[in-house]
Amino acid sequence: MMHRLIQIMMALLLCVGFTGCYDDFDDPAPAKVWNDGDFAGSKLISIRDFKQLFYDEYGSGASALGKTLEITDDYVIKGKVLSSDQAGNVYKSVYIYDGTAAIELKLMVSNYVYYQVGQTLYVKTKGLAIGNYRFMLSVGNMPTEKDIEKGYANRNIETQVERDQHIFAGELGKLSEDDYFVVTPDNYKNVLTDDLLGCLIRFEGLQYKKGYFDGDRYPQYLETVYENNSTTATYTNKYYEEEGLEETYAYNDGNDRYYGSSLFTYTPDNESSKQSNFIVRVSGYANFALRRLPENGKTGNITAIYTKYSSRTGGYIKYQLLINKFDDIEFDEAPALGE
Amino acid sequence: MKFKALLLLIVSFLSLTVVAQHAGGIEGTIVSRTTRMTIDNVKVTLLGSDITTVSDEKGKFYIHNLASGEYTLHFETAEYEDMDLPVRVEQSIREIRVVMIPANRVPMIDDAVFAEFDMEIMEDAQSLPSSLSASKDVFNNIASYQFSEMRFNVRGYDSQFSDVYMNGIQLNDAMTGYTPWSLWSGLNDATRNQEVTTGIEMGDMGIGGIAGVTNINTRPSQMRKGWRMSLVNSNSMYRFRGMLTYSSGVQDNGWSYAFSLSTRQGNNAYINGVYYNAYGYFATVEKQFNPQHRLGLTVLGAPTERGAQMAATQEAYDLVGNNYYNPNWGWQDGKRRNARVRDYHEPLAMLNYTFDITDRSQLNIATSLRFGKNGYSALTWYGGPDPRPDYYRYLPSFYDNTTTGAWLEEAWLANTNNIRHINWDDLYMINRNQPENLNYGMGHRSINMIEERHTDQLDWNFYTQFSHIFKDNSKISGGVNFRRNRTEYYSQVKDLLGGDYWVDIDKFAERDFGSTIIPYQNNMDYYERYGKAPIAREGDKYSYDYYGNNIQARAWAHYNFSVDNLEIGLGGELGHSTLWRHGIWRKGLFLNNSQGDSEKQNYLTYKAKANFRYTISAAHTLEANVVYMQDAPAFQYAFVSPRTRNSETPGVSAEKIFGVDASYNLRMGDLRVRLSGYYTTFNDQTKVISYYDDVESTYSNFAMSGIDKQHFGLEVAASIPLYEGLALKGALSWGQYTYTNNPNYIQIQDNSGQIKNQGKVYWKGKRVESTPQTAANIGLSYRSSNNIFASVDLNYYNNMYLSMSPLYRTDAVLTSGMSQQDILDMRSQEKFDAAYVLNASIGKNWYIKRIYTLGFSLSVDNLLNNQGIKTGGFEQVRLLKNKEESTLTYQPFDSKYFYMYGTNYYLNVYFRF
Repeated sequence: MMHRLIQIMMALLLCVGFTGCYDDFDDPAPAKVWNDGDFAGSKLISIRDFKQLFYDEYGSGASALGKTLEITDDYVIKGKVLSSDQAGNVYKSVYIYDGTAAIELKLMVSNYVYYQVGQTLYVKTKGLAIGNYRFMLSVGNMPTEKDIEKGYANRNIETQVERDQHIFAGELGKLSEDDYFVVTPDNYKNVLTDDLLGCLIRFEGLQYKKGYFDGDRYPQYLETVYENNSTTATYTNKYYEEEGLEETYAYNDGNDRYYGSSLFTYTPDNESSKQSNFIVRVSGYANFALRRLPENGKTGNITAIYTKYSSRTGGYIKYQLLINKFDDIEFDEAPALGE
Repeated sequence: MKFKALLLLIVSFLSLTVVAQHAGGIEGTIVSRTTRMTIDNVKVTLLGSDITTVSDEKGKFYIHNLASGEYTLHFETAEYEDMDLPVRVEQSIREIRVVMIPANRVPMIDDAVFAEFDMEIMEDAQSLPSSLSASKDVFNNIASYQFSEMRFNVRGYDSQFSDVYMNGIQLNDAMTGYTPWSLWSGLNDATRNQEVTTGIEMGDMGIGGIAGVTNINTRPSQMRKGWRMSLVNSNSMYRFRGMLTYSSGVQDNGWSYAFSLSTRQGNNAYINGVYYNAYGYFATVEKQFNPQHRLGLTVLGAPTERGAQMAATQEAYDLVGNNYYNPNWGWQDGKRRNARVRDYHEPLAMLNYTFDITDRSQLNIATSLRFGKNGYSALTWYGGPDPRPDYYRYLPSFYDNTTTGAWLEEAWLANTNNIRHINWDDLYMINRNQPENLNYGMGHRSINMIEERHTDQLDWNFYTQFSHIFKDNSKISGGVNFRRNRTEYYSQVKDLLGGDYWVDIDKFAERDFGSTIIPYQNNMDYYERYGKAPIAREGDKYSYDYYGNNIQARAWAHYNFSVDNLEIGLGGELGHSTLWRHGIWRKGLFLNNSQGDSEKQNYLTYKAKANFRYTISAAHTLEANVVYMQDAPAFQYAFVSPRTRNSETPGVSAEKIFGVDASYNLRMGDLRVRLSGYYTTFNDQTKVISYYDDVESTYSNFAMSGIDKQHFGLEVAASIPLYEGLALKGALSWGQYTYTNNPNYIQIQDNSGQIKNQGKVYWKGKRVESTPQTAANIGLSYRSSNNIFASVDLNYYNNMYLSMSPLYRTDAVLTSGMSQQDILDMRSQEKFDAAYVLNASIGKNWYIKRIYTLGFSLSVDNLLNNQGIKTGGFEQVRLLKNKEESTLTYQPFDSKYFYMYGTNYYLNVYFRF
């Protein structure tokens, strides 16, 4: 009897040994790839038509700045991803383009892990809002009162729960020639219009310029200081040269990271043309913030998102280039100071 | 067995020549009350003298040559209640029959009681019990059986102050000092033989510290012969435990052996994602060559995999609807998958040699080796959102008074899309979608993965001990211990979650110094050779790889003697400890300070101890003890950022401990009372925590040095027989454990070694965390003559405090906008509510044909099903930047808590023969 009992015990121990699999999980099935058919019940419209909804309501002039259009119809837009925030320059945004126009989606941080450049995204826009911030239209959540006070016309979709209600990832892909524009010294006057805001543009034959545009001196960086723990920043334009610094795309020293602005132009002698002078504005958090700017007068190519900026009331308009990654700046770095 | 009996005879015989020429004596047979079988291996002590003996195979013992008079014999052995028996001796041999009662609660505390608690700071230290000893001390017994539910630490001491030995070798972790119970967890039967001292009392094999010495004896010749098996069903720690043990007893050829196997399996009824998949094996063999020489070999191991629980904020608990939410898991493949799994197998092999030089002198030599792996997994992400479901930005409170907040609240309440849990599908999707980068070859770069952080020890011990009993019965013992430990710390890729490789760079350094490549390399030798960072695939090491080294040498001695009724023990120990780090990889941030040996840190360690016991009568004794000791800091605190570099912690020094205690013991038959008072100071402790600092916006090492603490208090315990088998028991531990100074701190940027802040941590007068400072028990226990036993206990806890984040108590978090009250609020320490817990147990043994024992015990804890009792918790180190007002202020993150389970049971069925 005893031996049988022991045998039973041993068998029990062994059994448990073989059945105890706690660390054995099948990989999840591939994630769903959304397509047009999934939105058959909604109104799939072009991005151009979608932006037109806003312009129909508020127009495209300075009076439309800070205005919000809540989407109450079941409109769906789709487009290929143009932007990447991997390098840290694009922040909480994804720009999509569908062949008619491009628009910014205001989302969370680190979108690059979810949405690859060239991937198609669908946006169910009902319940979201088109906002106009300094002439740029974007899609985001409805603004709060505080947002409106600060001049923001919509706000970021900050949580995954909300994002998953509105953004649906379609197939992966690559950007083709149809997905971006090429601008040269010869054609920029004809090609560049505000219809291209938010689009990816390859600027060929641009010249880097140390100097003035519209009364401002470049390159510069925007020192942002919260004095005495104030939550309101004090902004000061600073110049690398005067601070004894290398001229770089932005400022980055320890925890101090400031935007940098540099001037690239098709018309080096024209200090006022808004159509031919472009500001490359780079975040202090970009991983290329401390890369040196080109030597004055050098030419090269830049691929960037074409954006527009103004004062709160619509003055001081300038066109800014939003760089996805450092490789998109096809310029040689200037030699280091002292070399 | 013959040898042993002979030996015993000689011992008794020789004591005769010492004492005097008297013809009186005691001979006895010890039997079990329940089975009437004889009991061997019972230690018999003639109280008030040095005379001890051990009962032989037939349960017989002999003490001869006693003068006429009243004596008290003390009997103790594993699994039986200690017993005192007054005996009157006249001019002849007195023959007695001694009936011993099996111990009330046979099951030992399972270390699973101390479930893996996960803390956020990077230490990953295992939270360990300070005492799982099967102590027979009336107070410690109640403290370990009853108070462990509250993670009670005796006298408020951390586990590293309890010295745990096995066969004479101290096995406290060489790197952390923690008790080593996890090495043999689940092997309760095999490790049942324990000699335990409490408090400042010295042990036979060492001087000990302030929290007692436990020596586990695995000699097979001392284990009760036969088979034992037990099955447990429970809903508190695991679902199932099976244990099988056999001991051969001493065979005629001098050999004896024993083995044990065990397994613990399953989850518990309260915390999802927590589980046990644990085994234990144990084998020991001993050979008695002749009366003088014996050699023993013990091998044991406990391959264990267990899912961990992470504390959560009250907000998360409230949203989920109970206090047992565990954010560590998510659904995958229809099953719960836990990201935090401890997976270890650290075998221990030990060789023991004993030379009985004469009947009064003994030499022991032993050596042991611990090796194997100890890994603890965690989610890691290179970029993208924090994958932990309860990250503060995913909780409604972060979006107070907004529609987003309302959305989130709704989603949490309804668990929309499993928002409460890790979204494994999402992590796989992210990894699979990453574009190919030919720089690293084919496949997709994982953005998220499960890493497994390892602390793999090679721990070698050598020990020799000599003891001698002088003719006046005073005893000297002393020894030399030598220890060499080399622990490899590294992390390895455990699961790439659908991706193909991990790029091994330092993401914090890349963010801070991203413009140049060198600073964010983890492995410069590789980078210099191939011009790029290495990629790691599953099973590869990544991130960091270094050795922690420790050499310890100690020599100790103690001398015990008696002056009339006063027993005095004096002990001292002198040692040296050397700590150094050896970096295997050269890190880009610290090119000249990360690879190879660090400077060696040398510490002088010593202990001085005195024990006094005054026997007023057999019933009343007084004890007083005092100790002063200096010890080396733990390796992980001696280096400021051992994962990255060789730099030592600023201000690190040896820690000093002073302790005194005094006790009164009453023992009259089954009536037992102990009353103790104690006072302890800790000086110059060092601690390092590593965390992401929101004030400086950088990953930081926060090094505290010169931490002083003071513990004092009272312990009272009593066991009072009432009627027949009914007894009243009770215990009270009242203490006050406080920080007595404002220690210095230096906050260092992990990436650069730059000092970001320094100053004082203002916590003088604040309370020491993680144990109730007041704990009380009152209970009734009953044992019937037909072997039914039952007990009911009511426990009360109070004065338990939250573990503090030192950062909140520094000037670094002060901003000009804060009022005096804000500062006080920031620095205040949370005290938990007092709690009552009611427990009960019942059991019965059947003795069949005087050979077999069949029994069960069922304990049901927390009968009142109170699910709101906090058993621990901690303040998060992170701070929220409050930008709502015109001036920036910092606000602590919500604290995280652990709660006691509601009603739970543990059923043990056992069979022995």
